[in-house]
Amino acid sequence: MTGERNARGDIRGQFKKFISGNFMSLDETASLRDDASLLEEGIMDSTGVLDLVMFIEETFDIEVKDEELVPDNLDSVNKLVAFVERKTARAA
Amino acid sequence: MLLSDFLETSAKAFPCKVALVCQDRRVTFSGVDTHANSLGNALIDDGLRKQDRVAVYLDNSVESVVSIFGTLKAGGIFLVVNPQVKALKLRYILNDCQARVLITDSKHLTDVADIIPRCPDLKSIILTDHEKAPGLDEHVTGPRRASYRAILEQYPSGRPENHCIDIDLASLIYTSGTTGNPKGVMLTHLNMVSAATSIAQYLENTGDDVILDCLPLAFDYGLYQVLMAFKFGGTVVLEKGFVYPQQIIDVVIREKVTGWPLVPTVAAILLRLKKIEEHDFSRLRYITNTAQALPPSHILRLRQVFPHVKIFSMYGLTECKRVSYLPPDEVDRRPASVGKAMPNTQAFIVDDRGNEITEAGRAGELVVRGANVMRGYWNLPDETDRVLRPGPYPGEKVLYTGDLFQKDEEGYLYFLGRKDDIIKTAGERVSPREVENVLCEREDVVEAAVVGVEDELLGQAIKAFVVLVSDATPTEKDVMAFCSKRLEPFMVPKYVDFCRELPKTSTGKVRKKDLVKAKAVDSMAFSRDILRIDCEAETRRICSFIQKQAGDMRRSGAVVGLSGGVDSALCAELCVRALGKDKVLGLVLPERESNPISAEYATKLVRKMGIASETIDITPTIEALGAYENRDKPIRAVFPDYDGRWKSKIVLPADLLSKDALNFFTLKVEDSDGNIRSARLNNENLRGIVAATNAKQRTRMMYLYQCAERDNYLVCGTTNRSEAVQGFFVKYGDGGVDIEPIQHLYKNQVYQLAEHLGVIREIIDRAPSPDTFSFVVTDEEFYFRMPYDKLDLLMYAWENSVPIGEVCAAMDLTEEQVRRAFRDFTSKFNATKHLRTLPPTLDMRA
Repeated sequence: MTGERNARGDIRGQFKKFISGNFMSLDETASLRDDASLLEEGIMDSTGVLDLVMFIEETFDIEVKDEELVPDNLDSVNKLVAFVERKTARAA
Repeated sequence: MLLSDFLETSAKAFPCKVALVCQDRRVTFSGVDTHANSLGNALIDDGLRKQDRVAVYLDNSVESVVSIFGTLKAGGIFLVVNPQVKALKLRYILNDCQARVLITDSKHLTDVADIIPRCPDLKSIILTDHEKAPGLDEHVTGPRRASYRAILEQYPSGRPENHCIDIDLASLIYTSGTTGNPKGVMLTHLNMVSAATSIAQYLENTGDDVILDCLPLAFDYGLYQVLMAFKFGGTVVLEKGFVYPQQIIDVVIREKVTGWPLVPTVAAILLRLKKIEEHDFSRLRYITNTAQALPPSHILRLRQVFPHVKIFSMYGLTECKRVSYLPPDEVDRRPASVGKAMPNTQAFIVDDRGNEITEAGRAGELVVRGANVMRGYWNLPDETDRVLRPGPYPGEKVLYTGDLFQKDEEGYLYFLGRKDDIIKTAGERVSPREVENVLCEREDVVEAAVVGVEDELLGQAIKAFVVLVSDATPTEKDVMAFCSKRLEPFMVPKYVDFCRELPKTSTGKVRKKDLVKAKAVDSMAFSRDILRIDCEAETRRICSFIQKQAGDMRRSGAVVGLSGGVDSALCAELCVRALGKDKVLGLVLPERESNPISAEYATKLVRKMGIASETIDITPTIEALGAYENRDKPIRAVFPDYDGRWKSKIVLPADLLSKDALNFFTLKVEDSDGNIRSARLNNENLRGIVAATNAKQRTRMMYLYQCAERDNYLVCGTTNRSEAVQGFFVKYGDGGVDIEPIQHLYKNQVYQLAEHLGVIREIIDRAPSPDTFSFVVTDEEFYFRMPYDKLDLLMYAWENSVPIGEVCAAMDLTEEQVRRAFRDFTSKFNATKHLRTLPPTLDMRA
């Protein structure tokens, strides 16, 4: 149970770190809600998504398919965490 | 005809037809028309007079389209401001055009709330989601707040009275200016109706067309998709942007899209998808591209993926919307061309005196005639006169585009570049001045120059060269984050290069063309062979450099410190060729920690070359200075059992991200059993070790200079470019020699030249000892498997901003490998900036 929570917390942390490192300044990240739409907030743009996908594929060792490049999977920290959890659970 | 007639005519002809699809909303022509009528009536009631300005600061939405037409119906002038524009720029724009009304939503208003009191002409703010943010009304003075929704409910939906004629202004479109402030392009109804009519004519649009519009309405290309579709009664599928590719592809298929306007960046992203071919794009009739040229390779791929689709390559500028298009059946024959002038427009090329150039292949500025040419720049008569100049016929004004063009034998146009330094990136025009002004707002920036460099995805990527005050240590990320708070995302530099100074002309102007040109040319030709040099010519160049320096310093010969490696062997050989065999002294300076083999090689070399040499063991001097002990102390602070005879070295790990990069220096030692251990160094220990190592180098220098003074020789340094660029730690203290004749040569080129000049084979073949090449990373061994020539190629690519895709292709590396290497070069380069001191050297490009 605890282990699971830690793992989840870790995925979340990694995404937040990546987003803050690549798309926002630190003080902005502090105010980024986990359910905020990255598109609506103006954080994500077309080339940013490519970087995000590369980050996911490499960090979590999963392949992101074309058909998965949709907002339901990628458009907030919460959705990203859920997406990676789904993918890794399937792989395991 | 007025622009609003487009909507009104279609609303009469097809009232129930869907005009706009925006996420889950579908609005008919009559729906848009009645909403726009209500809004127009409300604006007039609010006091809007003919030709007053209304700013629309919204994401692409039904509301933004209704706002545009509502303004037109009220006789006003609309301007769509990109919702990514930050507060200060918005203030500039609102005040520049004295906007009377701002239509926005609560989220955007909150972001820019601070500037509202400083926009004195603003009388009303209409909020599209007023009911969501009632709090915004409280305790505010200044412009009235009104609810968009309440307006639609309360105001009559009949057509407002409109006294405009077609030479009245319909819109201002703000575009980047060379001065750094955006300029408002004034467009009349006639301008816009003419442009839309011509474009729809060559695209052969009909009411059956469904156009996908992911481009911002603040961008004329995005705006015209709506204007044109309303003209011919087609449907527009309006998206907030092109971010999640699959989502957009789903929309294309679901909505049976027939026309898809692209910019090169979006095309590049589509072509990167793994299974783009597998979708059913059978309904798609045409693709358009403008803003920047599509690379011919991408056109080819698009033709493969969309074999039945017409591809239109087009060219235009906000000042006249569109100039030319290439008929789709020409695209295979001349993929680099943007075609010929569109219907009802003329385009010709002129020389510096304004005379038309008729011959093929000669470059000149493109000039445009047509009803689509703007009225001028808002409030900028001088700027207007600079681009709108007398044309070939009496009384007319034509548009000087500032774009350089040439044409082929059959009159097809080819875009060559800008006359000014405006950058075109991801389909947007960016003024370097605007970015430079923001960079210079940083207290630690002395000056900055911004240029566009070639980029596979963006066409041009923004690169900033920044000169810092002496003790500043910001990272590139810091600088980018600073910019992203003040600029729209596409204006934020993708690359930041910290440099000592900017190249300048004698009058003190930054030579930007030089910053870009050499690199652009190089990068286009990037291949494995790019480092190949013409050894004969290179030898001549270096020899004359050595001769000139010796002459200038009134020295009759040269001393070279021979380490037994290839760099010093090459330097000695070059000095012999430049100055003569009897004017070169080889100095071998072994000490107790140097490899005995090195001295052996050095002696062999001296014998072969037939030059004078001396060998001096400098161990006693170093001991007397206490340098060994001084160095061992801080090492022992890290490894208490260190016994003074183990090998030790200091390395920089990959991916330095910290501001305080010195903390990331790592000490590696190999104990007597051959175990390698490593640990991070704190500043104090690091400086102790540096000082002691430096003392060794200074001792060497002292002997070199002693001999040089005695014989009236100069001291020849032996640093190559691969070392100099990276600021390799081991080289610390090497500064202070008189000349560095091979500092412009990569290691790989040193080998080529050494081989050519017949330097002893054994020395060339000698495996690079880890001590002279400390390119080791601590976290893994990425670079260990990288041979010198590959490493040099990567370094070359990094220095010259070669697009990553080209590097991958030419070197057979993955994108991630290249990115990592680049990141690593940048961090090391920045971390060791202060260690580089540059004695006179030969400029690679001189």
